[in-house]
Formats: sequence, C-alpha cells, structure tokens
Amino acid sequence: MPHIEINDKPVEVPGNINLIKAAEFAGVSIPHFCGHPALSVAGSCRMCQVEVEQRGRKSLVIGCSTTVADGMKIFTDTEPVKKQRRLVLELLLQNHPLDCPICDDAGECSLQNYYMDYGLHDSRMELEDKHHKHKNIDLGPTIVHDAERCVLCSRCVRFLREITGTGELGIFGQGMTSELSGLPGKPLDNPYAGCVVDLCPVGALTDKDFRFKRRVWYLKKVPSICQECSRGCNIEIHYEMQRDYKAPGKRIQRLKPRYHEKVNEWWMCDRGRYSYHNVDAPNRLVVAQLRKSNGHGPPDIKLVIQEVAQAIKKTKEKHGTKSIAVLGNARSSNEDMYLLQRLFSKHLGVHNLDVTLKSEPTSEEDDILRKADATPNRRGAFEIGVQSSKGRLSGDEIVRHALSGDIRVLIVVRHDLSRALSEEQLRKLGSLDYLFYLGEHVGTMTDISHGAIPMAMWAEREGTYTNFQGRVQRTTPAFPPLGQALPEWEIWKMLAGEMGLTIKAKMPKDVFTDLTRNVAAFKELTWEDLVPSGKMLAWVPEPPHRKVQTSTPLE
Amino acid sequence: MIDKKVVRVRLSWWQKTYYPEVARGLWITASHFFVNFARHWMRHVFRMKSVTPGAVTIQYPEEKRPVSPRWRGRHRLMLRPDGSPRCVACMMCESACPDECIYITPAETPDGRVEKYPAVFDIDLLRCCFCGLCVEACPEDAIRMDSFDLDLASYARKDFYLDREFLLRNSELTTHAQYDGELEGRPVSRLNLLKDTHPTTPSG
Repeated sequence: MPHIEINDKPVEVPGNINLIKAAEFAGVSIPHFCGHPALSVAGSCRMCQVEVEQRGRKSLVIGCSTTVADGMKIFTDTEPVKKQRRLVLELLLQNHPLDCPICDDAGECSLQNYYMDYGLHDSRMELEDKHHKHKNIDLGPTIVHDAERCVLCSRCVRFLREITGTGELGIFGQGMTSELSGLPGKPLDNPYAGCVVDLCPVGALTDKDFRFKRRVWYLKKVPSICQECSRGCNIEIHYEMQRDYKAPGKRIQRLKPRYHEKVNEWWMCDRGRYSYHNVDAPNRLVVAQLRKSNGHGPPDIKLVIQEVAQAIKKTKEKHGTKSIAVLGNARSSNEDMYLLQRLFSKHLGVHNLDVTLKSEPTSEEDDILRKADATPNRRGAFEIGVQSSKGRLSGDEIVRHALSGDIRVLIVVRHDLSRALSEEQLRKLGSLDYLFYLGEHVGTMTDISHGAIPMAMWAEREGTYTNFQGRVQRTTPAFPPLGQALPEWEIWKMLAGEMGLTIKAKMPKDVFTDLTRNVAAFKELTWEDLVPSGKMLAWVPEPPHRKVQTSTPLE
Repeated sequence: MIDKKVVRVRLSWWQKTYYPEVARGLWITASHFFVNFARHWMRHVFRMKSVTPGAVTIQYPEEKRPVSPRWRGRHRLMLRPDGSPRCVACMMCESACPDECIYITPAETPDGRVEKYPAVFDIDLLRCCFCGLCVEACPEDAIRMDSFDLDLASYARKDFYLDREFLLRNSELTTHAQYDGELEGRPVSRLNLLKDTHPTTPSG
C-alpha cells in the first residue's frame, strides 16, 4: 500500500492504480476524456496532466498512464497544471462547432463541464476559420456520429476492440483532419453498440433512440434492474412525465447502465437498453376485462378477482385441487412469487405451479453480459418453490392437461400462449371452464381469457429479483402504474383475502421480510441491504471480481 | 378579534348645504380645461415653447400610444435570410420559462444543415407572465417579444394559444436587420404595418 500525498494531503492507496483513481481516494477529481477504468490507456487527450514530485523533482505527467508509487507527491491545482488544462481545452475547442444548443449531450458533456471548471477562455478562433468535418454520419442502426464534436479520445474504438472484439470503428487521417469513422460495409450493429454513447465524453456519438427526445436536465433518474435476461444488469431509468406533449404517453426516455463491479461493470446490452418501449406501449392493458357481462358496467379488478376466487372454490369442491393450475412467470419479483406460492401451494394445496414454458423467448448468450435465459428471476422462482419439481406438472404439461380437459381453472401470468399453440388449440383453451390472464399488454391472451387483470410493469413497481449468480437486487418504481393496473403481489393479496387467507403486508418490503423468515435461501437478507448493489443468497458465496474481456470476438 | 376604527369625516354645515361643493368641484374641472386651453394656445399658436405642454387625449383604438423599444408584448419567432425559422429547438426558452407556457417538439431537419428545428412551437399566452426570460435565454435570437401588439384581447381562449405559423407570421418585417439597428424609430412604423394584418383581435 503506497503512501502518497495529494495536494499536500497524505493518503494511503492500493498499489497498481493510476493517479486518476488514486486522487479519488483523496476526494480530488482529475479531469479526463480518454481514460476509462475498463479500457487500455490511450493517453491521447492530455487532459489529466498533473504535477508529480518524486525525489525532489517536479514534472507534469498524465495521470491515466502513471502508476502510483510510494512517496509520490501529486499536485492537481498548481499554476502549471491549470495552464496545461486551459491549453488542452483550447486545443480541443479550436474546431469544435459549439453547437451545445442542439447537442443531445449538453448537460452531461465533459467538455462543457471542464470548460466551465478549468477553461473559461475566449476563443481565439473565428467561427468562419474553423475546420469543418462530417456531421450526422450514420454509423449503424442505433448510432449517429458528429465528427466536429468528437475530441478523438478513442474510447469507442478501444471499447469495440477490447470489450466486444468487433472493431467497427477507427480513427483515420492525420492532425487536424483526423476523424472517427466506420469501416465500409461494417455497420456498428453489435449487441453492445449502445455502450459507445455512454462512453463518449462529448456529444459526438448519439443514440438515435434518444435523439432530440428530451434535454438531459429534464430527466429524473431512479435505479433499477434490467428485466431482459437473468444477469440482472444494474440500470438507471431516465424518465420525464411533465412534458408529455413532446411524445404523449411516453414516460421512460431511456435506460442507462449503472456501475456494478460484479454484475455488469459499466455496460449493458442493446436488447436491455431499448427494452423500455413496452412499458409505454399503446397496447398496455389498463382496465380489467371480464367476458361474462354482469350488467354492472365495466368491471374493476375487484370484480374479476372475486370471479377468480369463486371459480377456484367451485372447482375445488367439485373436481379437487388437481384441476386447478397456475402458470406463473419468472419475470415476477421474489415477493410476487412468494405470495403466489403461499396462497396456492400452502393455503389451497394447489401444486400445479410452474413458471417455465418451452416456447418462451430466449436471449442470445455471450461471455460479456447476455444470458440465454430471458427472465430476470428464474433463480428466485427455483428458491421460492414455484418452479415445478419432480412429481409435479411442468408448465408445458399444465397447458397440455388444460387442452385435454383435466385442468379446469388455469391462471396464466404474463405468458403469451399464442407462441406455442395453434389457433385451434387457443380456441380450445378459451373454452376451458375458467381461463384467467394476469398481464401487461392486450393481445391474444386477453382475447381468449374469461377475465384479465392489468398488472403493473417493472418500472412501475417495487420488487427484488434474484439473478443467475444468486444475487438479490431491488428495483425502485419510477412512476405509478397506468390505469387500474396493480403490482402482482397486490393481486395475489386481494385474491388471498377472497380465499380466506389474510395477508397483512402493506408494502413489498413487508412481503420480503416475511419471505426472509420463511424461505431458507433468503435468510438474513434485509430490504435495506439490497440497495445499491444487492446481496447474495444465504449459501451462495460472493463471486470473484470479473473483468469483462472477450476471448472470442462477437459476430 | 381586531376592530378597525373607522374614522368618519364629519361634514360641516357649509358642506352639508351641497350646492357650494358642487360648484367647487365644477370649478376644478373647468380650471383644468382653461389651463390646458391656455397652454395649447401658448405653445401652438404663440409658439412659446418654454410653456409646459397641455394634456392630450389619445384617440384609442384609432390612434395608438407609442411604446418604448424595450416594451415586452406578444412573442414572435424570427426567420433566417433563407426563410427557415431561426429556432433550433434547443429548449432554452422552454427551460427558462417560469410559467411553463412554451411547448416545443423538436424534429430533425430534412436537409440536415442545422440538425434540429421546431416541428411544433406553441405558446399559451394566457399562462405567460411576459417576463421576457425566453428572450434572454435564446442563443439564436429566434424569439422576441417586440410584436408591439397593444390590444391582446379576444373572445375565445384558443386565440391565445399561438402556434408556430402564427408566431412566424410577423417575422419577415425585420428578418435581415440586426437587433441594435432596427430599434431606431421602429415602434410607430411597425404599428402602422401591423394595422391591416392584426391577427389577435377577432375580426367580428
């Protein structure tokens, strides 16, 4: 552990780190563009220059490529350092178009921030004399490039070479004319392409999906967990509802990855990044549906739940619990699954429970982030016991038994059975004694079911999810659910009330506390511990720190 | 409870007789008339310029009072010399607006020269407090409040919801001029120009 001094303040830092990281230990931030902890050192921006005194000699060095050594004295705000920073900024801004008003990155741009902190010089360059480069270059299906705004830090180039191994971009040309550009016939379309926008310290690379949607200072942010595969990447939901006139009904504006050293580092895949569109989709199920008209006007959730309760009671008396089945979903949170298990397995004695269907969509798997399992909480389903085990019907068997008439009441949570079944089979399923659907979107399932209950989507509810490693992570609701929609656990709670089981929980937190008491795997976890980085299940050891690096390039 | 003491003015016997006070009031009015009459004569007939000018009545709405160049009124959007709106939909005015009365939806320009332009630019004038912060915030000098429109009145609320086409309508009058130069002596001439095409007031 080297002992160093940063601005005359002695600190002890871990060895083998660079000066930018070391300065963070002393609470000092060193400005930098090209340096990134996940990428190799480029040393191209020269912004992180600091003065280092070693053995009585003072010299300017770049912080990103200098490793700390014992007895080093680092100065970050001396006159030579300030002068260098000003000079670097002036050079970077020499041919910069200064189009902050139309730049999507304004507000989160390093160049803008550093100019306000360290530059504040008047430009010596006349606007007409600036060297013009290409603007609005289409790099791929999701990314647009503006070469004039680029500071040539080469973060994106290094990311595509070192992390994804695809290498779609390169910096070509010399001196003032050097420019970031794609290769002919090789669009930037790898599954992690969106990360280059996060990496870009300026507004040179922008996301077509977010382009001109909102100014970044309008956005509100909540931490959440990606729902698109079992890795459970830490993300941030950026939403804005006040300026609805810009795009009516669109609440989430974008998703951004949130750093977690053992889950996703700084990255997230494009599938997850653009997965938020279904939250504000126009076909969201927002009112309860009941096929049987009862003359009381449009049904509310309570009416449908009473209908479900009656159906279960009637069928249980006549045909026994074997003719009742629930097809849960591994997209539900731990709390939802726990109440489902408690109500059906424990209270009612219904053992036809499963969360898996063979026809479920899967994700592609690679050794960066993506996992083949496209649900965020299958591990939780396994631990809580809503997944079928030996001697119990699996999800596909449940559907088969429903078609053959052995199962008379089927409750389907979020699954779209039209993926697996033919139209004739769906019609047959619709003529079941009772088919209820708990879902988020209007579609085939709402058409064929006897009753449909609208459910809150992941961004609208609080909950915990167990990823494939066994890490329990918590989401935060960004905004209230649409229309009548309720979080799944509340629906099970209401149904339990109708079935004579009182659940006292008022918040997901209460359900989770109950869960930690009754499910051994969740022992000793507390709701508060789960933010910001989650906790491992009781007997699962913490995985070692893993550096994302591809051994085989992505195709 | 707090009592407010009302001080009643006790009229004297002379005041209670009524007619002398009426005559006194009439005399005040008449004296103003004669003083103004004398001042007008002295200034305009006898050319005595040192005399204080007499009071004048402006025959509104036929005649309009000239306003100061820095007067803030209804907004207008400016055009570039090539006829495209100067606004780049940067949302600075929308962000600065304390009343949240500016509604902009940006879009990508088809020609791609300046990437962004306002596809929708609406101002709800009934919410506006005429503070002028939008004009201060604009980096492109695209929005101004110098339409010198004195009579903002209408029978319907929707007439105060100004859209982009309406806001751009009066922009051609000063499209090419720079801000400093165009202020000189403009208010009156602009009012003359506006007289025929006055859009806010309903025609009926």
